[in-house]
Parts: sequence; C-alpha cells; structure tokens
Amino acid sequence: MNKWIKNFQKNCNSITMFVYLLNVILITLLYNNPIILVGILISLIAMVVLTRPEKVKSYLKFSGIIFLITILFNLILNQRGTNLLFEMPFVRVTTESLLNAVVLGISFVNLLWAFYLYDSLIRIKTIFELLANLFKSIAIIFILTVKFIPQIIRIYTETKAISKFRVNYQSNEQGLLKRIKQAASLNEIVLNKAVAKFMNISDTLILKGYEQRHRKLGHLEYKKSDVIILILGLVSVIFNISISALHLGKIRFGSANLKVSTHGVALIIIFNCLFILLPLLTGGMNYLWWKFYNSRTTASDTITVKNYR
Amino acid sequence: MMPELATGKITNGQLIKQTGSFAYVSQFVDNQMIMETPRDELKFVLDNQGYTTNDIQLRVTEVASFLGIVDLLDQTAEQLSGGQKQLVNLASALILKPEVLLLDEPTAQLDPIAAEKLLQMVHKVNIEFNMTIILVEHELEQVTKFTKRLLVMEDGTLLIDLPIEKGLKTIFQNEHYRNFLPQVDRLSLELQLDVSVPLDNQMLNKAVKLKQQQLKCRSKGQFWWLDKPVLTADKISFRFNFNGRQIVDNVSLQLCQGQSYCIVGPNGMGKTTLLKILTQQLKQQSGKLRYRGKKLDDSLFTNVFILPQNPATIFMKDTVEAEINYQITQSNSNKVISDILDKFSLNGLESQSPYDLSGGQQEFLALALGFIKNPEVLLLDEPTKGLDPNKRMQLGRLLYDFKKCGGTLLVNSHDLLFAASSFDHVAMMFDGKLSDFSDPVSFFSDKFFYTTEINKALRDIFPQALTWKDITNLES
Repeated sequence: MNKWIKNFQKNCNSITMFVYLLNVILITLLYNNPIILVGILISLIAMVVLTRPEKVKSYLKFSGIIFLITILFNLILNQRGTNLLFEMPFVRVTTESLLNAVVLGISFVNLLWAFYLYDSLIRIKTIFELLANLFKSIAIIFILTVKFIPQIIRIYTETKAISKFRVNYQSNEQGLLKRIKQAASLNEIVLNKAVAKFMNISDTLILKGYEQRHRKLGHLEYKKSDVIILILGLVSVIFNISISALHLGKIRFGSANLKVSTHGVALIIIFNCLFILLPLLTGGMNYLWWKFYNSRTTASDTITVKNYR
Repeated sequence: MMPELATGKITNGQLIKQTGSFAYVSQFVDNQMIMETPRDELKFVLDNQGYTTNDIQLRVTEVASFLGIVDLLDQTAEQLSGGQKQLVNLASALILKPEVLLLDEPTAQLDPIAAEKLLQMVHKVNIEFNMTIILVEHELEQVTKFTKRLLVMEDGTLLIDLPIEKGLKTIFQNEHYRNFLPQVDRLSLELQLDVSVPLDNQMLNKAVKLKQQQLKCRSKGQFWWLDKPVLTADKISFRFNFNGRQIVDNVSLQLCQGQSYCIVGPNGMGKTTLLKILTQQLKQQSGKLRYRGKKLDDSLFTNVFILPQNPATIFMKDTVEAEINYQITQSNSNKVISDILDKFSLNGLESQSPYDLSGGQQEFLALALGFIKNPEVLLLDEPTKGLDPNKRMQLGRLLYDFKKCGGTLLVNSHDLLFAASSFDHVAMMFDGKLSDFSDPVSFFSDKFFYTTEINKALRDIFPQALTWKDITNLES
C-alpha cells in the first residue's frame, strides 16, 4: 500500500473510513455523464493501484471482461438512435446505442472499482459491529463469509489437487457426463469439509463473549482528522445530492437522441475526483508537513541543540 | 468446565465451580481470530463485555506489554506466524483477567521453538498472577518442568491424579504411558539416577556425569547403498508474488529408492510449499523435476501418494468404511478391509464420518489409504501432528515397513525426536533454502538449539546420543 494512503488509514477511525467509502460508492452511482464517468474511473483506478497493487492485474482483467459483456448486451438490447454506424444481422449499431452501451459499461466498472477500493480499505470490525447492531445473526453470517470464503476456495483447490493421488488416473479419462458427475461430487466433498470448519467459529464467538454483547458499537476515538473528513463527507453528500436533483452530470440514458452536456461537468469532476483521491491528498499533505516542517523541528534535536549553543 | 462449548449434557454428578471466570485457548490456531488485527480482536472481546474506553485502552496496553505483542497489534492475521497467532489468542483469553486458564493442546500446530516460547509465557502467567492453568496435552516433552500436578485420563475416567513427581514415576511403571515421559525424565528413570523428576537438562548432565563410567552410548554406524534416484528436483524456486519472498529458493534434492528423508524447520519456511511443488499442486517457477529420470507426467499421480498437513483434505466419502472401500477399488488392491482396520487401529470406527475422528485417527485413516494404494513414493506433511507418543511410534514402525519393502519416504516434521529416530536422512529448511541431507546423528549432533533434549543435555558426554534409548547401562 502506498505510504500516503497508509497514513490516511492510520489517522482515521473505522467509521470515518466507512463514511468515505460509502461516499465513493454514492459518487459512482449518481452520475452517468460519460465525461464525469471517465474522470471518476481514472481516480478510482489510481486509488486501487496505490492501495492494492498486487491485485490490480486481476481486477483489470475482470473489469475489462465485465465492460465488454455489458457493452455487447446493451448493443443487442438497445438499438435505438438515428446515426447508424454499422449493421449486422439482428444488430443495428448507432452512435447513440454505442454511447449508451459505453456509459452503462463504465458505470458498472466504476461501481466494481469502488467496491475493490472498499474491500481494500474497510475494516471487518466496523461492518461486523454495524451489522451486529441491526441483525445479530446476519453479523454471524457476514463473519462466516468473510473468514471462510477464502478457506472454501483453498479447500476446493487442495481437494481437487489431492484427489488425483487417490483415484485411478486411467479411469479418470471419461465422458462429459461422468466429468460433470465428478465435479458435482467434488463440490459435495468440499461442502462437507467446509461445514466442519464452520463449526469452530461459533465456539470462538461464544468464547469472545458475543452472546452477551453489551456495547452496540465498539469504542471509537475521534481525532481532528476524523472530524475534518466526516465534515468533508457530509459536504460531499449534500453537494452530490443537490447536483443530482438539478439533473446536472446526467444524460437521458437509453434515449434515441442522446446529448452529452458539459454544463457543470468540470465542477463535478474536480470535486468528486478530489474526494475520491482524499486519502492520497491528506496522506500527501501529512507527508510534506512531516518532511519539510515537523521532522526538522520536533523530531530532530538539531534545532534544540543549536538554540542551546 | 465450560459447558457452553460442549454439545452434550452432564448425565451424572454435579459440576461445582468456585469461580465462573474461565478462559479457553484451543489448538486451532487460525480459527480463533475473528477480526483482522490483534488490536481489533482484543477490543472486540472488551466491547462485548461493555468496558469503557479508558478500560479498553489500559487492558490492551497491559496484556500486550506483558505478552510482548505490542509490535503485532496492528498487523493483519495473515502476516502473523502460528506462534504469534497463538500468543494473540492467549492475550484474548487473558484480557478478561480469568481465574482459570484452560489450554487445549495449544502447541499442537507450532514448531518447537514457538511452542517453548508460548509455554514459557503461560508459565509466567501462572507464577506471576497465581492463575490456575489446566493444560490438556499428550506431548509432555516441554511441559512437565512447568507443571505441579499430573492427571491421566483414559476412556473418560481419571487414571492418575498426583503431584508431578509421583505422577511421572507412576506412569513410568505403566507400560502404555511410559512413552509419554519426556526424554530426560525417561532416561533418568531408566538409568535409576539419583535425582528427582521432572529434571532439566543441566540436572541430567550432572547426574549422568556422576555415573559416566557405567554408561555407554549406542553406536549408530549406518551405511547405505543408495539406489538410483526416484524423484529429483534440480534448482527449483517458487514465490507467490512478483517481487515477493522466495518461498522455495533454488532447492535441489534427490530421493533414492528405499530411503527415508525428513525435512525439519520452523513454521513458514517453505516445507509445505516444497511438498506441493514436488506433487505438482503448485508449479515451480524455475528448475526441473524428474521422476525416474524422466520429465513429470501423469504417472506421478499413480506412483506417488501425498498425505497433507490436514489429513481431512484427502477424505472423499461419508464413512471410514466407504473411504477404505473406495481406495481399494481405485487402487485395484486385494487388501481386506478388516486387516486394514486392524493394522491402523481403526476397529470400531467403520461407520463413523472421517471428519468426526480425532486428529490421530484421521492421520491413521489417511495413512491407511496411502498404504492401500502402495505407492513408490510417500510424501507426508507433519504426520505426527495430533498423535500421542505411542501412535507416533506405531507410525514410525509403519513407515519403516514401507521403506523396507522398497518404498521411498519424504516427510516434513517439527517433531525432532521423530526425525531423529525414524529417518535415514535429515535436512533443515529455512527461508526457502534446503540444507544438505545427512544422517540424523551427524545432523543433530552438529546443531546447538535445533536438536533433541537428550543431545542438548549430554552433548559434552555422549555427543552421538539423540534419544534416551541411545544411552545404555553397562551393568544391565
């Protein structure tokens, strides 16, 4: 993780982080003007690249596939528009339908990247406590999911690999139906193994006193930086909802005469991109403050020593 | 003692507790942490009890400083080693200031050095806070020196409940439980040394020195005729991330037919990954693997059997009997199910689910499946995990028989005693690098910390001694 973003993560509590991430998700949901969408997409990708660089390749691959599938489906389903680009049997591609498809594709991909960012920065404790506050059993299901999905994937991979050493390899070369049967039986085996794993977690929750939970929300400490970010979050919500109510940053999605307006777009892009990049900006500011001011005055004793001389 | 964790009910008698303040740490290192970081985990426990902000801060500070885990507080669970995770689990148990601490085989998944550190910490808790500790364990090697009372349970009844010295002497008289004794205590009792048990290495050294003239060390001259290699790895390397640590770093090895090899080393040093590469569960990023001189192909799956760290991974059926029958069919074996049940001590468990068996029984069932297949090469990952000393010896005999019939063995183990007594060649893996294989005597007598207790205690008198069996009394 980039050190500036890490600094942001260290300096804000889990609720502040949650508010920031909910805001990012809200931003990706509110607008469908392609210029704004591209701006948001660039900011989101930049944030994810800096937050979880090791997974960017697989994220790019997956979101690329989702983008293409969305475009293809939309081109088939929505064939409106007057400016014909090209025609194939059953498919008539116009500038408007292509733009609609691209807008929907980027919107989906933006939402996906917002969730990647959410996944990289959120703390399990926050979600668990919020859920525990509302629905106790859902919180348990959440924890089981978060903790055990990676384990189930690992069990599946291991079982599949190890089973090769048990079965007669020659008899393994079979028809499609038998292979499907084998896959179904493998899934059953994995489920059996996973259930055994699930059992331990309920004991753990009992031991940690979850059954007699007194506090609705865990203890949180609010620093100055938390308050500032929460205020910025509130401003962002008010700004985006107001802009949305004014129908700025939106196109008439799906219509045959699609017009992309640039009215207010610059303001929306600047405000929202800066908000998405907030961890980087605050971390960067903290870093510069530390490097050029604080480390030279308080963390270093040179000045103090000089004064005494 | 904590009925809320038991699924059954008390059918007879009454549970009388003078305190309700119990804490419990289980052997499952990974499943005990709910939250992402140790700090969140500790806060979660206190939040559940409704502690104030100030109390939470103070308690986390206290317990983290006491257990020396301050630096670990903000690390994610994935970044922690097994030993560190178990320390965090201990911290979660201690943070509520219990009066009784229950430990269920807490070192079962730890390497010897991490296990010793954890036990020393538990001992510190015991003596500094006068906290009652009840430890359930079948591996007494490192725990007797910290213990005041010994209880032995068999088939649901208490056989022995005595102060530690009397307890150890009593189990020495019992042929079945004699093998449970720590090596140094066993040696002193076998040689009838004039010392009290449990004793430490220094006391044993002094006592043996006094009797040195009457003792001798068993000679262990071993000569092997090494056949052609069966499985060869040539400079294989593996890492999980592009710029990540080399988990397996330029490792070369040759496994010859009819020989047994053991790799020892701390947790997280690449032993399991190496086995996964040798069995092609993971593909090496560089280097070559050959089976009988040829590039690996599907014949590997026919000729090799792997027993993973968690034996339950290989189970595919609902009952023990179905598992064995399935393996007999798949391997076209003419073995009879009743013989297998006898040989692997699985009698009476035929209709049970393999997942409901104890750790030791699961290990033996998995091993039985491997023996039914009768492979050329048997690879085992931590096979002694969850086995009591008698079962461990039984495992050693089964592996010896397999080797004698021409089989080749490669085993990963933390268990230094098992490595010293059951294998022809031992090597150490650390930071992805594998040392050269050498015979157990040369390997362990050369080590200072990573060796058996008998070798640590008597290296200046009998440098070749690795287990209590290696020292014999001339008079007897």
